[in-house]
This record gives sequence, structure tokens and C-alpha cells, in this order.
Amino acid sequence: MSQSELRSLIALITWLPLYTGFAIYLKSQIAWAGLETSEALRSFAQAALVVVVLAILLAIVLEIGGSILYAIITGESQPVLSDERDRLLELKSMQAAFIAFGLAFIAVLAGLAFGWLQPLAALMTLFFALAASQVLAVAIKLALYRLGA
Amino acid sequence: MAAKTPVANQIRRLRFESGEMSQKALAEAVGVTRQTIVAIENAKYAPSLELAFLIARRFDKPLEEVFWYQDTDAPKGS
Repeated sequence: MSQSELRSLIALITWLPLYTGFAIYLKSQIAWAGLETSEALRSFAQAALVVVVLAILLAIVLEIGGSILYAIITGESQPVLSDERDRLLELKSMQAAFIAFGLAFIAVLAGLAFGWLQPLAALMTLFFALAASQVLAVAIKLALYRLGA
Repeated sequence: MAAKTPVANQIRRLRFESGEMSQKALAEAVGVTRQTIVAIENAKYAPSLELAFLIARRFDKPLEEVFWYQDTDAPKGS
């Protein structure tokens, strides 16, 4: 297992609980439904910002922790961080994630245009679509590593 | 299973001819991960021109003796 593969695996098992936890938290805040749209949007944006900051901090910790863990497992003090194959797999997975998020974005636009979605629901859908595409990118990257691509 | 690339190589044979050089040693010599060398050897990944030249230079061979296009040419060295 390469260092990039290990970091992807750690990211996958860390992000999933983070986003799932946020979704559970949102579900517990059903009281938002009674708020004015602008107030509800502000409340969601504040909560989402906290999650984004947490995700960034987590990414930094994972970057450092992953390197240390890899050094402990392999005994290599100066491992190659990522090479051309890692970057190619990164590009392929990001492309898939971009397409997935693009489709979700169009679906949200259609939902707003035809009145199927309220602004808050649209914003939430976009946020979770972004999170899901991020997780999808890591999952695809891991699958490509496992397939030996 | 990932599809095979038409870019074939004889890195495995060259490694053994070079004092049974390990995949890890070759990877460190050319600045990539061992997994990338494994993928190249199994024709699962076609290396960039730069990496191909680095690998060939490591074995002190011309590029076409290490890599070749499977459907058209056979390697000169084999």
C-alpha cells in the first residue's frame, strides 16, 4: 500500500462519520423548518461553516498523521509522497466527482426552477452533494489503486 | 481488473540481470513508488516518457530495449 493509498483510506473512514454526523445534527434541528427562509439559511450556513473548518483541520491532521503512520508501517523515513501515477489516479477520481457534483447541481437548479425545492433544501442538497462527491472521489481512487490501474 | 496497456516492457528481466534489483530499489532510483513499478511491470500503467527514459537509463539501455508497443514492434534486445 502506497502512502497516497493509505491517506485516501484514512480520509474515507474519517470523512464519512463527519458528514454523517452533520446530517444527523441537521435532522435534529427540524425547528429550522419554522424559521423565516433567510434566518434558516443563516443557521444552516453557520453550521456548515463549522463543518468546513473541521474538515480542513481534519485534512491537515490526516496529512501529517498519514505520513507518520506510513513511516511507522513501512519503516521508510523519506517516502515518495506522490508520483505521476498517483496524480493520474487523482485526476481520474476528481473527474468522476466533478461529473457527479455537476449532475447534482443541475438537479438542484431544476428543483428550484420548477418549484420542487425550497432555497434551504437546495442549499443543503448542494452541500451534501459536494460532500458526497468528495467521498466518491476518494472511493474511486482507492478502487483504482486496488485494481492496479 | 484494470485493462492492460499496449506498452510492454522487460523491466522484470532487466532487474534480475542487474543483480536481482528489487522493485523498491528501482522505484527509489527513479523517484516513484514501488506500486508504480509493479503497475508498469504488469503493463497496467504506461509510464510518462520522462519516467520511461529514467528507467531505461537506470539499466543503461536504450528506451526501445526496455519498452515497446505490443501491437507493432518487438523489442530489439529480446
